[in-house]
Amino acid sequence: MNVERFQAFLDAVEPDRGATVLSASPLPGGYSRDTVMAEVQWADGTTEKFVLRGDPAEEDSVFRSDRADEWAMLQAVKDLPNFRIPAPRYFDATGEYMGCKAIVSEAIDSSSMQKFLDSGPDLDKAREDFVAIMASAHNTPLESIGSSIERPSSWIEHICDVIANYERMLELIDNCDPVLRYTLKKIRMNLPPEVPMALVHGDLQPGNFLLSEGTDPYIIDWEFSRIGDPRLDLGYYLQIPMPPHLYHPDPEAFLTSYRALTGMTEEQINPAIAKYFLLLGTSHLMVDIVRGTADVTAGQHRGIMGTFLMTAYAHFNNLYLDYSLELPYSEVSA
Amino acid sequence: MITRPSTSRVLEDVVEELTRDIMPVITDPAQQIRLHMLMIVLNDCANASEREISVMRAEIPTYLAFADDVAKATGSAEVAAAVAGAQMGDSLVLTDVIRDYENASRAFSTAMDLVMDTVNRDFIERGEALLKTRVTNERAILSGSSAVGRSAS
Repeated sequence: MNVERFQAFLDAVEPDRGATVLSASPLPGGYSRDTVMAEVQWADGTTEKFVLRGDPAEEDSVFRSDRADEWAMLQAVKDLPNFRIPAPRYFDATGEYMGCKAIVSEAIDSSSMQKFLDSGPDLDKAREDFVAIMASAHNTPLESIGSSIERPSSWIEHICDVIANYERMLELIDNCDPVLRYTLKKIRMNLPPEVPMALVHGDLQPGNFLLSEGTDPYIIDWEFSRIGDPRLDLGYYLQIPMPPHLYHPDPEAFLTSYRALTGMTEEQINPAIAKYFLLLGTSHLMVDIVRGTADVTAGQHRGIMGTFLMTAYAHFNNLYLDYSLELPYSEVSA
Repeated sequence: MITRPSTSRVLEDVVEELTRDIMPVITDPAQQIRLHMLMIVLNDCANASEREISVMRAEIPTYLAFADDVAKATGSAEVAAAVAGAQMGDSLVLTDVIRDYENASRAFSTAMDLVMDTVNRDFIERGEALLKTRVTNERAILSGSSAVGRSAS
């Protein structure tokens, strides 16, 4: 994705607007997608900024997600009243122009909530804001989301599919990690109570909330979104390492607010169940991490992330053991 | 002579070169991040080169002893077979040690599965202690940010 490619793309999709791509610069960071900030001048003299999200070459990537699925989700949620997303504007569905499947969204003049947290705000207030944004996604009525988004047939089928991520990991490494196997057994012994299915973001953290003057916050990076158990997002956030954390200093306060906004009961979400969902809410990423390390072990190149994520593997194994040790023993229920 | 410098010291020197002379002339933030990540990988490799064989060789007998004790206490033919197929050889060649470590890990998991299913508290406690040691060793080697070759020592 560069100036020439984006120019050719806009010439094709906006032939009457006379686009001139002024710049296209890669944005650093981001573990999974190639991201580019671009500025365009239209024939009427106006300018516009865009964010381009494309897939890195397979040999340079570890995390797997499908741009077409992400585009479908963006289309499904773009006009919902619950929360805002940067308007998705174009999609190069085949990579014919951009060199890879790529989503083009409007760029928002904003800064991330993570940056705001770094500035030393009132963290109690920030926690309430964070919970409110999280709940705004989880409270989205599923009937308002188009039928193009896959829906699991039942909660139990969905949760068993998430748990099966551990089987996928173990298969990738010939079943030779006792920590993952132990974690899987403890997960199966401790199935939580069912809750209604909801819109799950998959990477819900302050870095993916954009704050903009005079508007509600925007939620970005929907590549791992799906319909499922909303507690997956909560569990995922527990392992986000960037300080200041908005959950760990006062889990009860966080969950009291979350329950009040979502209607969940204390039986359905409490600190123990939030920890349980860390084990599930990160499992989709761990499958990709394990696959990346397995590929490198087999002699394939997966870019810098393939080897860098050795550290993440060890980190997650440590977390998984810590959290699964706390789970009680019982009859296997899944 | 292959011991002077050692592999970890070679990697330490490479990281020093990258830090001192290469990183300052890279102006692209994305490439700076990539280089920093590569340096972390090199740190981990240096740590691993110092200790990975000794760590695996120390853990293997504990896994096999655990599984053997479980097999004898329960009479499980499955666990006994896993132990029989996972003995530690004399070779210190890394690929051989890795094979032995993975086989022993599988035997340990097979035994752990059994004692978890039957909620055998004594064996569970012993097995969980082995798991804690395993992740402690993993974290010491794959710390991601420690000084080259030194964090695990």
